[in-house]
Amino acid sequence: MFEGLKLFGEAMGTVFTFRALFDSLWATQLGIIIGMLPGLTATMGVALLTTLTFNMAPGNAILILICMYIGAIYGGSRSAILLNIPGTPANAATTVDGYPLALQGKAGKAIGIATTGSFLGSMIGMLAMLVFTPMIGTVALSFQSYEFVWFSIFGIIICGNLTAPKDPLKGWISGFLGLFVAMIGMEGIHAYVRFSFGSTNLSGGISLIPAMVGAFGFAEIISVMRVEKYEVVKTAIDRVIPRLSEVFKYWKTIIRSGLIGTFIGAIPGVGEDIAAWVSYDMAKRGAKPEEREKFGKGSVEGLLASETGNNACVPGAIIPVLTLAIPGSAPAAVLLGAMLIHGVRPGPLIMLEFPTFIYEVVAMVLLATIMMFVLGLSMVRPLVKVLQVPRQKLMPVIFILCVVGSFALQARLFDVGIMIVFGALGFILREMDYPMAPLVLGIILGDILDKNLRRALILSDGSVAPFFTRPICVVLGLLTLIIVLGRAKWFRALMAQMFRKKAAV
Amino acid sequence: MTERTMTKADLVTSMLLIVFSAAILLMSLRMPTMADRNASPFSGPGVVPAFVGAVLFLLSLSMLIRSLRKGAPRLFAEDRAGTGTGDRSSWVRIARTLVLCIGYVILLGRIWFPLLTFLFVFLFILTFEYDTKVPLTAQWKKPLFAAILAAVAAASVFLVFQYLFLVNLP
Repeated sequence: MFEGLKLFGEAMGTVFTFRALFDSLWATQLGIIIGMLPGLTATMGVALLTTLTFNMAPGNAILILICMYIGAIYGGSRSAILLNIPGTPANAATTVDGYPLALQGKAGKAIGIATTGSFLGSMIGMLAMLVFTPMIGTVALSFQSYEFVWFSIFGIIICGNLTAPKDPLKGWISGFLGLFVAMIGMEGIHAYVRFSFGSTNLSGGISLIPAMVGAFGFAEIISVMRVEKYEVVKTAIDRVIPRLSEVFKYWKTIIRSGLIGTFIGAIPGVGEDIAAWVSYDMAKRGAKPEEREKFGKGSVEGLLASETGNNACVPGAIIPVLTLAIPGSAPAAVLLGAMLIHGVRPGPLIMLEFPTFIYEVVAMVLLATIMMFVLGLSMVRPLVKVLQVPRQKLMPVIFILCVVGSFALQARLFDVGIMIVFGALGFILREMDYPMAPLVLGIILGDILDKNLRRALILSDGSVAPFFTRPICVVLGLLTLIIVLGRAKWFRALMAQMFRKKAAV
Repeated sequence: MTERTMTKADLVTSMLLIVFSAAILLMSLRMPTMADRNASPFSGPGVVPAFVGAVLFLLSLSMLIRSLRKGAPRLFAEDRAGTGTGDRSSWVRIARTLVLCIGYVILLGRIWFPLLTFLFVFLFILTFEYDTKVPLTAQWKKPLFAAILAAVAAASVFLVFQYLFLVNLP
């Protein structure tokens, strides 16, 4: 425990330099602006910055990406409050109470509450990261191929289930399509080229970053351009800095939302949007009756819950990135990709190979959170002007950034093509209610599944028994089975019947 | 999308996915097992894609069955009789965006990057802002501002990425 604190203190010394302060300042501000603009998501922001910072030293680049991530998830609350359009999907729950507050002329107060909520949520997540990452890292050392196979399957299934609650079948299809995308190109054991149809470009595989820039950038540009226009709420922004009593009155909600957000963040692929909704829903259930009345009509508690939840999710999503190399959310997936580009190999061995890196990342999260809080409470009025830039002027510039971003990494036009294809595909899939997060998770987990399933089968000489006898495998397998069966009507009817019988006995 | 169109879309996509996943499965089964090189047959490159293809096949099959149960073919027959009215203007906007963006990507590498970028931004803004029904004299400011913005965007993207971020440009 104290060893951890000592390492964290040392990491703060390494991370907190003048250069880092400067980098985190601009990156967080840029993140807030990207988050604010509807159509520009945190995932896209992190993906674009990954390609632009890959010539920098790893420490600087990863700090910039974390600042972008935290800034964007917070920044989305601005447009949610002022436009009733979530700036990023993570802020959808913020619109429910943020926009009514703005309509009541309390836009400044709402922004202040959202900022404080995001700050506290991020801090709770950071503390959880500090405590749990080394613990999970140590446990993860005992994981073998069998466990990783189950982790990949469980990740896809739970991510599909939670990101497409209306129709999990589409979530799962999206996830398995992602797994297939990862199969394209040369595989790692025999160097056999799969599904390339003779194309040299395809035999190198499909790179994650161009695919992400397409699915989250270009697809968004198309969906933003299709609608006529949106209106900015004309409201005077009053006092932004909230009164302490106003926030700490809801300390129970803050802690609950922080923990829920972190926990949901740590589940593979399930990101900030789900975290915000779940924490909003829990806050509504736990609220006093007179407060519950206000939910949906401008409740401070509701706003606080959703913003605390989504920002707590960010550090939560980084925990499995560091310990298992499995991303907790879509932006975290890009972050994972960026770490690999910079030569840091996250995963179970991280505690042995880069023991100080975990604490450095925690220190980076702390720096980004502080920056977000300071920037969030200052410069509110000039930034609102950014929301008034017409889309037809902004989107072509964003598209150019998408093109440059996907080209920059490997300097080949093929990657730009990948970006376009994934953008169009992402747009069509999203129109038909297929969530994008499982697809992205699939692209990352595909490699893990590919290597570990075959390794496991070689070890067991073809026997599948170890997949069902090792303790962690049994737990993961049962969880996967319950999630899948839980969606089948006959299973639910059977369960209901069983419980009724028990109750009768 | 309404539930009605979604059911129809699900029928079509599930059929496409069934063909797609069956193709994945077949191609994976045809991959070498590497047993002739004394490697374990379980290490063959086709093992995992076959698994992915099989699961995808089952998932798409259950979607097909579901959309058939919801009566998707009947919906198709009904709608063929009536006229399908969609939101035309939004499709026009999507088509314009796609044409501009894909055109830009196709010309990439053939035309000097800053010039192409200038043209792209200029045309993009005009396509969505310029009203062909109004004479040019009444809206001469629009092309002018579009040109200025396009020039600034092209120049700054070029300079910032080339010299500040040291990134390769197409």
